[in-house]
Amino acid sequence: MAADPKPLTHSRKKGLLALMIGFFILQAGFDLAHSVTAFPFVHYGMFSERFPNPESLPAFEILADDRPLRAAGFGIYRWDMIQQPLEAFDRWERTGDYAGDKARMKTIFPGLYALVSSHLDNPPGLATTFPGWYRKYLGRLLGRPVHRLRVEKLSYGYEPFGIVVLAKSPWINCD
Amino acid sequence: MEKRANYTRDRNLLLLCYFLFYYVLLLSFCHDGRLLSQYQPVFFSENRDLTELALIASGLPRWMIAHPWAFRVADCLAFLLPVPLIWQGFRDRRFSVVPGVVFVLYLALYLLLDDIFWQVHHEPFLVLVLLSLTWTTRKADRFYLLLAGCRYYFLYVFVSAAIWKIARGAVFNPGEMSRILLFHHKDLLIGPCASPLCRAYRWLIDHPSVSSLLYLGGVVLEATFIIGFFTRRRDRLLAALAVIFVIADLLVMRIPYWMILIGTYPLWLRKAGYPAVKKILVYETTHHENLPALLDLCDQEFSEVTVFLKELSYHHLTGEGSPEHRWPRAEFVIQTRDCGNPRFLWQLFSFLRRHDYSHLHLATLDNNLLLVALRLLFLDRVHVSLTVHEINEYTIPSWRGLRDWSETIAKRLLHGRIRHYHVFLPAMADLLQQRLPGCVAVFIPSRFYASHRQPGWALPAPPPYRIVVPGSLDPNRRNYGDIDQTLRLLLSDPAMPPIQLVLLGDSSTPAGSAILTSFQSLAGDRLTLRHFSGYIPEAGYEGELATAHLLWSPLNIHKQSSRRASETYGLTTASGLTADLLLSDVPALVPTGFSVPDVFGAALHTYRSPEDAATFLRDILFNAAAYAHTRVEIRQAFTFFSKENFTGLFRQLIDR
Repeated sequence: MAADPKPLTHSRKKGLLALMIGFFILQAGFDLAHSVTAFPFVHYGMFSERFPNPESLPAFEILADDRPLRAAGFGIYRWDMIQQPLEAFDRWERTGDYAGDKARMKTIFPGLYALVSSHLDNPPGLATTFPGWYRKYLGRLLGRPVHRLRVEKLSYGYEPFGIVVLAKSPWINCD
Repeated sequence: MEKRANYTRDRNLLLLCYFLFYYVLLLSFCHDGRLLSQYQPVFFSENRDLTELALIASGLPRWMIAHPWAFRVADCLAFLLPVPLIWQGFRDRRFSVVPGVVFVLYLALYLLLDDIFWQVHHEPFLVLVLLSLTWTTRKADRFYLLLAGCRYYFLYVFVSAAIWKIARGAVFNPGEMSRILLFHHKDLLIGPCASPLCRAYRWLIDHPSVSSLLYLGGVVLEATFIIGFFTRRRDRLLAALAVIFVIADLLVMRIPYWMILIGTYPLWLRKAGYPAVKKILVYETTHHENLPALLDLCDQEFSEVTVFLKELSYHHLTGEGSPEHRWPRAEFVIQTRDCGNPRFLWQLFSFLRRHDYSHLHLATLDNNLLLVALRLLFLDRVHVSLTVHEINEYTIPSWRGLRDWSETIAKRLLHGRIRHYHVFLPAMADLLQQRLPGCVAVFIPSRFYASHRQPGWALPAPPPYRIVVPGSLDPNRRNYGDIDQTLRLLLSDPAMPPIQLVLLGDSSTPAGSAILTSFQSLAGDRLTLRHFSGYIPEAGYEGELATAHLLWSPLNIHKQSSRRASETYGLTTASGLTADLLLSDVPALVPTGFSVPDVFGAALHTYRSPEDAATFLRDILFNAAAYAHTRVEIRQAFTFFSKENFTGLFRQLIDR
């Protein structure tokens, strides 16, 4: 592969340097802002917040055909892909399809919001379609069809002798 | 030219590493069901990222959900878009910026979609995106500038993580790590927790002081990357620390952050391009007699020359004045008697890096080969060349003992690393190029011929005729019986003129003493003997050669090297005679079988037997007219050995 031996002109080089420095300044700015990011300006502050002593540990108990799924039985990413849709769906439910963010956008950029608002909403009927979709999705991940799916929201407590269930509430039930 | 070659290498290497990494990543996505077409999402998430919000606002995620075939298209594009880039990179075709720009934009889009649909968390992927910018240019300077930017970003990732942990006080929060572990591994802890890893997490959770130490260690490791903002000399250490961090993160946190390791590529490269200033460092051990020509050429071609050599070699480097006087631009670093070879080599490599030398020439490499070979692997910016004294020993593997094993492995590494060689005979250069295809091997003599050093060169000096036998009195290397028998033949003739036999080597060894005793039995009025004990100072050595009428090197054509490799004089190894000849333009005798190089043809005469040698002495040495004619011919032939005639070859040796 031949390379261009012609050197960069000084001004071009300076431009690239300025671009890079600008990138780092923006990056640092977003790092400081922390609550919001703008890809590719992200922050690397994970596990830096002061963790209070958790009173309870929330978790999902997934029963596929009445058999509980355990993290130890899956690879890291595979388990992540089992858990992640539930967490996302839970967040969607809790936030009312991110109503707070949309309201904020509507307040700050009303014109823009009016233009794009229809794209910001998730497809209608998600609350009813998600359980069925997740059951099929889980079947694809497990490599076998799942006929009966139950997901419960649990709250655990950590005791010296082990983990104890503090609270339990049914969430998804799909046959 | 240098930078261009380097750029091509660096770019091709990045192309290989980057896309290997990229496809491994995509295949790992596929393995874990994380491709969009495998996931087939029915909803998207907002992750408080403005760019993602803009993408959602564009309507693309919603449209994709409504048209699931779009997920398959998205995955196909992720697999196929690098193909034109790879094709373009390796086919060396006309460069187009379009495939690079399209790839960068699509990679960013694909990661955004992944995060919107299944929360990929793109922090570790950002270095991958930034490195992809290098596919948008073909300018060497811009390529290296972008790599430098990626390097700083990679450092920033770690340093920023450390600063956050310190600034937000987490590192000072007792039990922080214990709680992080509890929260992070809750899914594992809920289950039976029978695995050793799960039990280890429990133990760490129950021992906050130990887990805090782990957290602190992690912060210190991350903070260490700040060094990279001030120096590039520790880049490879930082790259190794990044690997350790990723492994520790996987073991302790079960976070597979391996994709960030592509960011270590600019750290492995160290600096882009070779040093701008041409500076050479020459390493020599005991064969200092071969250095003068190299130093003359180094002095001419380099802005700085430094020679690392033994004390003995330094003192005997030249017979005329001090080395500093002869090569005023050269610096000499001397290995004292109390400094071992490994330590001296360590100092050499530190010096080489600290002072940013562009070239290293190993004039003799006869010790610590593995150490040198391994160090050279990490000196990719330095052009390395080597003087090969014995071709068989350098190219033929030997597995007899531990040292042979280590040296054979070292030589294999050296063959890969060193592609430029210097030898003392043209035939050796040809043979070495056959043995190591693709390498450059040049013939440069030990020294250049300086006729001014032989006053009265053509005058037939009066008897006694001085026959000098240079070299140590070693029966393994020389057959002194030939000289003994020849002298006996001559002494049987009453008309033989007086001869002085000079044994110009250490005769104090047991083998030397035996040879000396044999000659002493011949000594008398017509044959006097001159011999030496111990090391002969260079001035004295050169003085003896300058007043010689004839040199006689009764070589055993086949010899064994110090490592017991079979070598052939004139073909796989050179005798010191070729160096001695250029100090005195007198004829020399060598046994038949010695492959006489054309360039030394005027001076070297072969003999088949003592009778043959005696005939030569009678016809040439004792014949004033014939002798004078021979020396005229030698002198004319030796004008070939000028610095100007070897400058081109030397440039081949030092050219990258």
